[in-house]
Amino acid sequence: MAKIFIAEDDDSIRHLYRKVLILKGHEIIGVAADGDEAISNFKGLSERPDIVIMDYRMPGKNGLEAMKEIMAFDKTPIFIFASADNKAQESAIALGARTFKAKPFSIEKLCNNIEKVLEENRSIENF
Amino acid sequence: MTYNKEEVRKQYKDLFESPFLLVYVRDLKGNFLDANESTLKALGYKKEEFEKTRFVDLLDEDQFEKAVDTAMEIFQTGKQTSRADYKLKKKDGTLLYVETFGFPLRKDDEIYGVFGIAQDISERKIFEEKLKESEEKYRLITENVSDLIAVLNNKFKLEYVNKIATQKHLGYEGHEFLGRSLVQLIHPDDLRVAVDAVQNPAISEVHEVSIRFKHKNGHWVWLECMGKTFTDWEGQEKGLVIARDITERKKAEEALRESEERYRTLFEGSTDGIAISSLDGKILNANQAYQDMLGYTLEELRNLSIQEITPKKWYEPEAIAMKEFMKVGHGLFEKEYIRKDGTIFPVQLTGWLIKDKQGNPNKIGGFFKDISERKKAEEALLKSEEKYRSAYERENFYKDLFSHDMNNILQAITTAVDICEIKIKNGINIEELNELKTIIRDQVDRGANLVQNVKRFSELEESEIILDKIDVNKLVEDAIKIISEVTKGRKIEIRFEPSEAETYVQANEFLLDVFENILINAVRHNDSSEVEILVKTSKIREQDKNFLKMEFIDNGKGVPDSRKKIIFTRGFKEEKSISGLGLGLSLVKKILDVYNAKIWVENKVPEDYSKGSNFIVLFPELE
Repeated sequence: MAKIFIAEDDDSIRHLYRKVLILKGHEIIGVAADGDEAISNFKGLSERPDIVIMDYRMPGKNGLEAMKEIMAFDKTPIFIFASADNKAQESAIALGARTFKAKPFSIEKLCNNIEKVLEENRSIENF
Repeated sequence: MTYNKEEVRKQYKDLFESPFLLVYVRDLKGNFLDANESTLKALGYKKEEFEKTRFVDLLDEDQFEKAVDTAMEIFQTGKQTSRADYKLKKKDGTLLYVETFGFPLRKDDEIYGVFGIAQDISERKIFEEKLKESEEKYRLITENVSDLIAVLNNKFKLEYVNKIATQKHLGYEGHEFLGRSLVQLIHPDDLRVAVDAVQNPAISEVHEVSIRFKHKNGHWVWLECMGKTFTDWEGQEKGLVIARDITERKKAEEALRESEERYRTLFEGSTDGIAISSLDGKILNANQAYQDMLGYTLEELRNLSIQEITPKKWYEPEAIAMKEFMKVGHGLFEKEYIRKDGTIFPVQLTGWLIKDKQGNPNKIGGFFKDISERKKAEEALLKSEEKYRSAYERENFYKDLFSHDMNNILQAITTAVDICEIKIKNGINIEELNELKTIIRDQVDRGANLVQNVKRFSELEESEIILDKIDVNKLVEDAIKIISEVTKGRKIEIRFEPSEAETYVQANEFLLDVFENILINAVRHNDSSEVEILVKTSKIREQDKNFLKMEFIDNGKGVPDSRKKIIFTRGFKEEKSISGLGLGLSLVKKILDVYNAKIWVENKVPEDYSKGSNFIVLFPELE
């Protein structure tokens, strides 16, 4: 189970992410509908998320810009980039995202990814 | 032998008494034995003094030899064959020039003395000396001047030439030249001029005539000649010619003439306009091409300045270019000109700075090329490039649209289906199923709307737009029906309050897409359980113009101020991340631009965007 923050400008997708991730046993501790909101909402969280699911193309600041600012504030969360733009993949990984999911993807795969990166993190912490 | 004075005086009484002739007698040793009054007076001696004087006492040493020779001739031959000139010293030391003739005096066939007769030639001698001196002076001048001086006889033959100048300018030694006919040396084309000048000396006395003479080496030398006729001491008519070598000047003149000819040919024959102006922009000269280009005559142009034929927008750029031009002395510049008929055309000008003899800039020269055709070609090329760039951007835009928007739609559907699967496993209730069904249908509608909008976008880009008189009220009602149909399942109330029964604008069939998209947008971005939309029209007047104002007021999520402008700007060239609202509002803006209509969004409740939006469209009133 992970604490997750979702930044996604598409209302339907954001709503469905929240719904399905809760069904999968995760906790959604915050959401944002654009890059600027992602930064401000993240900074306003009372607890730190384990995972940030970040869209790339959003109004105002895009996902990469938002991730950079959030990482400058807090390096602990793991960023999973979920975007319909494959061209953002390289930059996202280079800037620190752990994995990149190209839309459309199944929720099963997203959940597997979440489990995997959490496991990796635990291994690193134990090491 | 004793000299018998009385006898000799008696014998030559007339000679002794002559007031003009100096008569004297001297012995064989040169001692004077007698002299008449004229002699004593001329030499300034008294009789007693003179009779103690010898002939040699009166002579300079250089005359001794001549005196001895003359005496020897008289003694040996008994006669003097030619007169002898002497320069005698008078008692007061001054000189007396005399011409003497003597014969022997005999007694018993024995010569005992010389009877001398002398004529005072001082005046003549002094004149001759002066003449000689003068001649020498003139000879020195004529021989040393660089001008060529010649004397011709009446048959054009050269009788005198100054040697140094002749050799220098024509290559001949003086003697080679003398006796030759001048005609042989003159260029055939200049013969007429030379003959006229000689036959009518008034011409050459007043005017210099330029004539080519053949150098000894065969080439032609230009001489500028002045002539004068005179009569010599023998009464012969002669011609004096003074000539100056002007070959170099002629060459320079010829080079200048050729240069001017070339310049004139270039100036007049150029198909480019050429103009010369003063530094303050006054037009001084212009060729025909320049006059034709602007439609002004030269006289008209001379009353104009460059500024008067330049559109005002070029004043500042031209002033900046001029500063650089004055620094480097030349420049290339593109600007525009105003023709006499008021039309404006583009020119390319290549300018250069013209300097006076002191090297100070005083004029500006310029080549002017009418580049209207080139500009048209450039514009056509730009349009063509723009067209291809636009096509390229459009292609990328569509790719992007499908890779992003469609993938997002598919993502929503996939996730909804995934949830269904989970729910089926865990037990699903009807309410949750309906929600997921609504989401999936919504996404399908969204996809269909996206496809339709892309199609519309494409048509708008590629087809020729013909506008017509369209009834807004009817299209709004049609759009409301369509929206109500595609949003079944949601509680929606759309009210339409037109200010008039029929309201027309200049538009086309795409106007329905405008209304559909605004309404769909209002529904889609609305989380309220009941969507409320009010559409109303009104007539307004702004800046002396009448408009039809349409308002689409919803109770949706609203649009934050930061996004109010960018929601209409998604397009081919958009780099910035604009998402969430799909293509709809960008298409709306694009269509309304074609109608010359405006769209913007305001808050339904001022200061609180989250209470809903008011999309306002302003159409120009149909006249």
